[in-house]
Amino acid sequence: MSKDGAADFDFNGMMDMWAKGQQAFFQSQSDMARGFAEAVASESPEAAQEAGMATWTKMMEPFSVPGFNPAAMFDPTMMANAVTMMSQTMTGQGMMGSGIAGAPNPMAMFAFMDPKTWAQTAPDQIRTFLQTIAGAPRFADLASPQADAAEVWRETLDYQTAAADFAGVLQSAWAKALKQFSAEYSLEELQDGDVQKALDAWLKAANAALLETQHSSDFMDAQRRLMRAGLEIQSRQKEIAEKWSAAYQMPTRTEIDDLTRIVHELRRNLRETKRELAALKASTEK
Amino acid sequence: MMPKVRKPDGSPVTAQDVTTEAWMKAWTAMMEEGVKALHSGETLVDTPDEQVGIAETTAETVFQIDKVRVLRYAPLTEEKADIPPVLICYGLFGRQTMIDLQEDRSLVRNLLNAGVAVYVVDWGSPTRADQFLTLDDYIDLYLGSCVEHVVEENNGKPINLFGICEGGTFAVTLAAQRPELLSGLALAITPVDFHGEPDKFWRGEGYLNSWIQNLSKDDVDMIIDTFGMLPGEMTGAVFSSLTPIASMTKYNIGLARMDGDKDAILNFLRMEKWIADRPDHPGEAGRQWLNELYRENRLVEGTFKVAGETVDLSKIACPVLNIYALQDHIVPVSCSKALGKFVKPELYEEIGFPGGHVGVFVSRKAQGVVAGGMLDWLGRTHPAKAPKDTKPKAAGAKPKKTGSKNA
Repeated sequence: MSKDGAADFDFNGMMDMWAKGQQAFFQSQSDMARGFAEAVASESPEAAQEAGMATWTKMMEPFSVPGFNPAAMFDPTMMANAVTMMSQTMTGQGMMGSGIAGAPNPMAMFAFMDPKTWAQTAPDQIRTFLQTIAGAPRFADLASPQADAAEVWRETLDYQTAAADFAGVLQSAWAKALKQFSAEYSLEELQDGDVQKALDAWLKAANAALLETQHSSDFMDAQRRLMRAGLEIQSRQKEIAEKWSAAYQMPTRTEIDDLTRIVHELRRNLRETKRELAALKASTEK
Repeated sequence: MMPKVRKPDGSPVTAQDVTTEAWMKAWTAMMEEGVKALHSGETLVDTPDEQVGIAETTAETVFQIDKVRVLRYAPLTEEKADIPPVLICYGLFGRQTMIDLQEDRSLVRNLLNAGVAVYVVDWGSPTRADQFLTLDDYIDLYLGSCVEHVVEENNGKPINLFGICEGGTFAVTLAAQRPELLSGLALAITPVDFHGEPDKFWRGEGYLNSWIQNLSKDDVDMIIDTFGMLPGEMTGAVFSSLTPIASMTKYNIGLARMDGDKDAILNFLRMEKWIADRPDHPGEAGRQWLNELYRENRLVEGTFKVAGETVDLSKIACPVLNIYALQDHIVPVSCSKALGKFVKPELYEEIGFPGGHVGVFVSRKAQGVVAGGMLDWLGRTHPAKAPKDTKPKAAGAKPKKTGSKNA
């Protein structure tokens, strides 16, 4: 080997690697272009549109909210109307009672656009997508903020889903309470006008339903998932805070915890040593 | 409501008349409640925080190890009962101030008035700097050292240890490991068998046990690893969820129904003050408490180790008084009563208090049943040294000997 190692450098190997890499890149571009060409070169423009619409509809199905029809988005009239409504909304003319014939449910359309709506009810595809990004291999010398962001987003989705599930279980408990109250407390009794009696009956029914629900595996599992999802977010916050602490030359939580552990173990060892010494001293004095 | 057939003027009663009458009655009742709420609001305004005093019996620190202190209460009477001192040990999930919440509902004052020397362990306020303290530290080192100190003050003679809730579990463990230190062991609302008898649970009982058992070891580890501690806010929220409607209505309906009653509102505020002062539970000790005891039930399985030694409850050698609450929604009766299976029948007595977990200390009834029962037990288990006065004793206060290992 030469002094600086240059003589041993495999130049041909490096060129070969780059050539193969470039070839693979062009191949992937070619494959993608071919796939795109096949997709658009259908028997007719209508068939192509139908195929596209079917694909779109299938893709959007999980995100659909009641009243929203993904296929309607391909209807030129609908699309034009939607644009008009958007325009009216933006200009403050409002969207209700616009009088546009065949207009899709505007609230559903806007609900669809609100991430709060679909993020809670159909996160599976998003989660898969985020997981793909988050789980991608990492490079030593390249930052991967997209993977970190995907991880945070996935955890947020998990929390939202868990919170929605938990709320669902609680909602069923309240529904059960109402049913029980309705069964035990008659309309005639309500008509009696004794609100205290009615309130006490309601509280009793609600307490019973909530206690029963709390003991159910549905409740416990939902609460456990919510707790875990919340803890994951807490851990992520800690990670972010520690990066910030390190960047500003401040000790991190982990470093302080490590020190605490060391002090704790030292103190324990010191006490054990003192005990042993005392016992030794006592035995020698005998 | 029975509709009237005719009005005084002879005209028929209509559906509208019935509805109007019912609505007026409801409206009146709601207005009355509103007035009561206003009364309570006025009382709250007239009750500054400094009036809400808890744990006001005078005490001084006589021993300290790290954050843990032993306080000795000043005597309230010149006469002294010739019985060994009582060291009270509360758990880490709440403060020991519960035993002296207010002057007329104070276990401490009841014992002091009978001439008994009373000490209490104050665990301090653990922070993340204490997160690596284990149950070894709390039972063997801290409680062990506290008991040793009081024994020393008692001229080297054994003392009475009174453990409450988690502190009771600590006390039971210490009593089994170092029986020479104790002349008597009293317990209140103490879990020993952490699984209990679920088939005998009444609705609302044992939820905490089921909830923790539904967690995996990994869940518990995740909580501790994330927070370093078992945060007081978290344990407080779990305790509140055990009585869901009571927790939801205490600040509205509950307060309104007090109708401005100063005493009732002061009692309520003292309890609020105690609840708000919930310390964080040290993490590693919490991990053991949840995993080794609540989930794996090691204490009754005979696999729980403290300071390297397996705890054998049958080694408890002093008289035991076990007080449990029949309507305890935190520690089920069967979880407490299980101790009777391990202690010799001639040493074991119990009192089933007709109330809830906290009611054992703060209810008016408890002053007779619990304090009275304890004084009675102290007098009988130290016959030559009976307390001067067992006045708080009330009907049903006398502990019962179980006479059976399967009590």
